[in-house]
Amino acid sequence: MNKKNIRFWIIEIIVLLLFGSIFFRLVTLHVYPKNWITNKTNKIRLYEDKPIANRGQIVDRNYELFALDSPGYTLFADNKYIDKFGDARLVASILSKELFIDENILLEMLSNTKKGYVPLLKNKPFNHPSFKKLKPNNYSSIIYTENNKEILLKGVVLENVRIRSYPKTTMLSHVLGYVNYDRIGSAGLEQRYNRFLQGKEGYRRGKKDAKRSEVYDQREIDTPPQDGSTLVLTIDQEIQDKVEDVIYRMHRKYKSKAVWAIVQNIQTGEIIAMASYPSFNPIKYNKVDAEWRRNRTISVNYDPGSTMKAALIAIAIDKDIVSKDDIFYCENGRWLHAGKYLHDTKNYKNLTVSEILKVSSNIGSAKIALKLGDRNLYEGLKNFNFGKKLEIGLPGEEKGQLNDIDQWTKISSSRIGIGQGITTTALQMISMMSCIANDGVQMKPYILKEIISSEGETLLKNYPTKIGNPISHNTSRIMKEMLVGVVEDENGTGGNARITNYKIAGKTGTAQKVKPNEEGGGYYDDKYVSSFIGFFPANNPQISILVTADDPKEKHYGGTVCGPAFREIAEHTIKYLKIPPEGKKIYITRENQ
Amino acid sequence: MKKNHKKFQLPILPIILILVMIIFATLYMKIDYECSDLGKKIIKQENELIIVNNRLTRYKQKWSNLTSPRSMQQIIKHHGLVMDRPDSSKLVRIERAYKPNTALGINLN
Repeated sequence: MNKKNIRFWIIEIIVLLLFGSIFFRLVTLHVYPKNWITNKTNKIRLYEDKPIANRGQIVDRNYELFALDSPGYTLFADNKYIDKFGDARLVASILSKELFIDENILLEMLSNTKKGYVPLLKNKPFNHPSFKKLKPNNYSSIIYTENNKEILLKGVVLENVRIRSYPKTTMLSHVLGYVNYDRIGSAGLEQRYNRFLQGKEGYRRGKKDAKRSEVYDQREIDTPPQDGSTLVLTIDQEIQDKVEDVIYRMHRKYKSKAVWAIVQNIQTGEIIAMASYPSFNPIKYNKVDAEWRRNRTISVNYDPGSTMKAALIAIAIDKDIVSKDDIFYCENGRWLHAGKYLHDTKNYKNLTVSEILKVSSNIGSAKIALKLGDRNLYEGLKNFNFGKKLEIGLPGEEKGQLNDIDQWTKISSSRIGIGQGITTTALQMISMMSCIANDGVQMKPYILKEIISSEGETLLKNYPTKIGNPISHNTSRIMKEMLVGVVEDENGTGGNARITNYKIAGKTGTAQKVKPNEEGGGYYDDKYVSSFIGFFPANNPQISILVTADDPKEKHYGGTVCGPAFREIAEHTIKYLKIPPEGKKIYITRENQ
Repeated sequence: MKKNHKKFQLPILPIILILVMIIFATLYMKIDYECSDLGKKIIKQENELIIVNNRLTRYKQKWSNLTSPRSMQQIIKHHGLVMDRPDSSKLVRIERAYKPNTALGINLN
């Protein structure tokens, strides 16, 4: 072997060893990688995402949308990334114009390079003016477009978010409620059915590439989000809208503190409309006074006044204590009983029970209550479910106040019978009147018809439920006749609720407001709660309506303030639901039911 | 002078083996490339679906707002029309029977 050959072999061996060692190292790195290497690369390449579930929708009985989740953005800056790859000055100069923030302040915000997440604009809809010139590029940058020129802003991200939207703005706001900043239902149906509505976020894990984009074939876990369930309500938006319009105008006309109204299907107990004014926009719930957010139809206890006389007389007739033609002497409009005076608006003498109801005589009613006796009245009112919640399925429902009979004084029954010394909610009052209209059968009021999961499965369905039978069918028949008299007869207090060709039954109420103890207690002389509760067609009742005004100015009689509002809502309902005067139609408007 | 040449024979088996390996490797690389390309397309489609769903939601919201009785009244008033709301039986409802959003029911984020 000559020298040349030896040199050749030596070089060949060295090259082989060199490449062999590189090859060996590569094989060991790829096939048997060390933990410290894999941990580091896995951490860098790890892709994790938690797709947000859409919160469930809320729809009315005809599936008209009242609440849904809509897409939006949160604009944030990744200061660490900007520091490494981006240009903080460029970002600040561009975004300051779009976000209306001072450039120096924004630059200062972006200069804190310890922060990886600096929110600049949170949870705003896509069409927000600040997003007009911005569009997402990838997981680490956005594109800013001006005059057909595109500028890449590195380290600024438009993150997809979900925003709760209420397309009908203020409509039904008290019933719907709202969600807080963390998308948790905090009032109304949003709160009560939060666990059904909120859905379940998804989870996705895999690897990302150098551009921070997910590598599809490296996806290890992919659990899609589960959208929340849909709440189907018994509400009808057409009637709801009318009710809200009417009470808004009433509020303006009488400058009342508040107005509220309910429309109920007598035969099923379904709530077709429920409204309070002042109202609010659920997406701006924190911008209004807490009082505005109260659903007054269920959360305000008030002295119902003369509307309670309907319950009193129904109980008295049902217990066979009085009949509609029994005569009571009404003391010429002023009566001293148990050391306290009671007044009527006119100097009535002898009135039948029917007339007492028609003209709403306090003295006549008090005498009926006394004849009925404390125990009978107390039990009768309990049977009507006064003093306890009706469990409509909304948070904040009050139960009213019906004191235990052992707390009653000598004058209690005479006052409770005329709607003083007892507090009720509007829901309890309409439920009582619907019961009288529904042959003495009290139906459970409900506002949620069903809950449908995102897969289309019915999770919950509410059916008409009987909750009591406080009066007999015969008593109901007599009461209906008498209540028609309140509206139809010339001297009835409810003349303003009359509708041509339809038999309307109802009762007016004008209760003095309770004076707080700090102001000496008792009742105000000049502040009233005016109301009207009625139903139609009286010969085959379908719909009951309650309208109440808190502290109306100038006029205060229930028949004057609330009667016309009742009529307007009733006329619209009759037309919309095509209820004939004889009332044969049953309120079911959809197919397959 | 006659040279003693050994007859040169090609190593057929190793060559076939190498060729097969090359074909397999090429095929593997091709499939791998196509898979990753497909993956990119899937992700793109997923993102497009999200965009379409978002647009659908926005239109649903807009439609719901537009068709609310109050908006309708405003539109009627704006155009100076004398119209009244029809009764419930005469209303044509697009989504009469409720069907949940399952057709597009994937990740909307």
